[in-house]
Amino acid sequence: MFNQLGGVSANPNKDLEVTSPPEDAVSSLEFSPPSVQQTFLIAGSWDCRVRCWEVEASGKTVPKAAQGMDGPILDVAWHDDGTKVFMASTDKSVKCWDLAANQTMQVAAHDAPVKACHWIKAPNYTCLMTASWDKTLKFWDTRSAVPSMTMNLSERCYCADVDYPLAAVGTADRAICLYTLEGKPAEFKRVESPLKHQHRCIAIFRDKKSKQPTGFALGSVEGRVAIQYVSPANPKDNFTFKCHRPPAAAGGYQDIYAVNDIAFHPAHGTLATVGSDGSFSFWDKDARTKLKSPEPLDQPLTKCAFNHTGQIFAYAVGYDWSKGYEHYNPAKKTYIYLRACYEDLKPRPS
Amino acid sequence: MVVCKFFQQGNCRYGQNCAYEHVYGSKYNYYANAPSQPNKPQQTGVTDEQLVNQVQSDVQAVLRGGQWILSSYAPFKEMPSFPGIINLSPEEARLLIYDATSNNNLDQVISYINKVVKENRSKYEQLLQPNANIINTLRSIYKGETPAEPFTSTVNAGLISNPSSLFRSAAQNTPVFNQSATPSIFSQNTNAFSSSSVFAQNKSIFGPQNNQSVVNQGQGIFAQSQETAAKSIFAQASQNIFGPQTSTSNQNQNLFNTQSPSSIFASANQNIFGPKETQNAFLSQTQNTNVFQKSDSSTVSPNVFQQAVVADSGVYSKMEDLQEEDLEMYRSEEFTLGFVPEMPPPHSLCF
Repeated sequence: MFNQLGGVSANPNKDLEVTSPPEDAVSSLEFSPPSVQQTFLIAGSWDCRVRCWEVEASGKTVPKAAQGMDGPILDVAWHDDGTKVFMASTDKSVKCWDLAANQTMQVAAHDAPVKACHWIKAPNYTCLMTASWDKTLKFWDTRSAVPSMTMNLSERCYCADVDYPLAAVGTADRAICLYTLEGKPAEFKRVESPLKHQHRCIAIFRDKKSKQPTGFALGSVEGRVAIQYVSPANPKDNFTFKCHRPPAAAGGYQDIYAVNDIAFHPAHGTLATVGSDGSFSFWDKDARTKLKSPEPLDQPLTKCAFNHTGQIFAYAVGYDWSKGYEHYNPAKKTYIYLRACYEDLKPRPS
Repeated sequence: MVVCKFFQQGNCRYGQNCAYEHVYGSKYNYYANAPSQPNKPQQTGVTDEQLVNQVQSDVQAVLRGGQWILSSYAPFKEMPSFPGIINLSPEEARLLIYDATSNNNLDQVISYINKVVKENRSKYEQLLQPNANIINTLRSIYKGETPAEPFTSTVNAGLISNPSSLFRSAAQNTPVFNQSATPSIFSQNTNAFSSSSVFAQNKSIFGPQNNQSVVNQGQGIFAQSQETAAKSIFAQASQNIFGPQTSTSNQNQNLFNTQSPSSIFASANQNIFGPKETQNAFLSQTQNTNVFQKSDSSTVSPNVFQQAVVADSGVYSKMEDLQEEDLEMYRSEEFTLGFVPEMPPPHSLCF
């Protein structure tokens, strides 16, 4: 029933290991925004904690702080000024962590675990967007205990991304909804899913020339990614591609692994995907080619992130539950690795 | 992502297991026997057999590939999912187990999840050998009608066919998915707000914007801010916080062990809901009556939501100049090989 990973070493690519990693799988991984001079990495984990490291120029990581919540963490997000971090938990709340004071304060609540949180910085407002398995999307002034706005989702939120003025939410039962954040948040359109199976991750990408958000990449449990433009100039601009599928075995059927995360390179506009198969790949969506596919690891990769300059690629290794409870081995440790990636993600010369 | 040349020549030996992308070329270089395609140009042209073949090959790949089984499945791209298939993400399943671990009812929850998995697997298997009901449902989905659920259920479907019931029951504190007892964390605090007129009038943060600053910020969305660069965001940078806490969690097997559940609105000086803070926070907004004032579009840089309307109508075909076949093509999401129109699309189908 389940695929087995075997015969591969823990860190085959000799990437830099982050010190004092989380005790359980990483659910969320984010580098600090450009407003902070140093580079910080935060990771939310199933061990109910969020950790923050400083990443030095040498690649050395120094643990700086940690905070906990009453349930596993499902998402984290930076405030644009880099002084605060938002943490979304299965305990149905979101807390704001003031890094300087090292104190937390609840800023949002839902009726079910909160799957995603994103900080929105608009010219005329700032707010926190939260999306939950309670089938709602809420926008919060972090100073108020009631949401500024609540929108219903057709299903439980499985993934969300924000890049002002666009927000994209993927839900159970393959729904996608796009929101415009200009002036105030409003539903923009519902998109029929180009994928046939459960949505898992979504990432907004920008137009190469205008540098404005123009579409999104959507990953599913079927090991497939869809590149979808909000308003495609040509229907053929939208396409899907298979990934994280090792070569077919003798039986003729390929093992299928979920795409666990997608991240776009901030400078090149190319993208990285990580999968349950333990591998990560770099892609050029415009040339429609794979740029690089480093050696696979011995556990699934749950999450990945680029820092804001695009020099560092971080990826988290740990069990993603893709094979269920029976294959959960608490003895297997969680790791986060850092890799210099600027050259590897350069687009294919056209 | 690399396009398979052999497929376009009509003789790829690997079929759906090919490592390369199977993309149809234009109608001029396509020779293969058309496999069942979900988006046929004429709906009457697709046979039940083609629909069934499509589904069988998808489902075969799911079952043999070891794919996450608690997933919805759509037989056709950009069409509704097949009804009745239970949808649960790995994270939801994981949380059920973690909750069960702390509630000491792990066996109960595992058997529950196994039942859901079995139920879904049996539904996928029914799709492999579709009966008349399933074929009817496929046809309705294909035609864009609301499909009826065709499955003959093997286990207690009433309980588990609605996945959201899992978390609804969590909120109701049933024994299986026991969760925190307080449904609304803010409930104790709502009184404070109902008595406060400040919040009643100013619930929204999407206040009117200063046009001057919009111009500056709108152009500088991607510019880097330098102002906070020098200051460290950590007050106690030298403190090693991971040390003691890591060893604590090592000793404790309970996944749900966290620090002592603190009061939600920590200490008095932290309380942003206090009157003094409130006044400051909302001082600038008290004059605003229109909370969702629309931004002046002329000051905002063009973006994805603003589509350029091409004024030149000459680039479009007139509706009456196009054949029904071509119109059909432009109406569908994807072109089908052999039916790609040679005339430009009509204006009405472009926007």
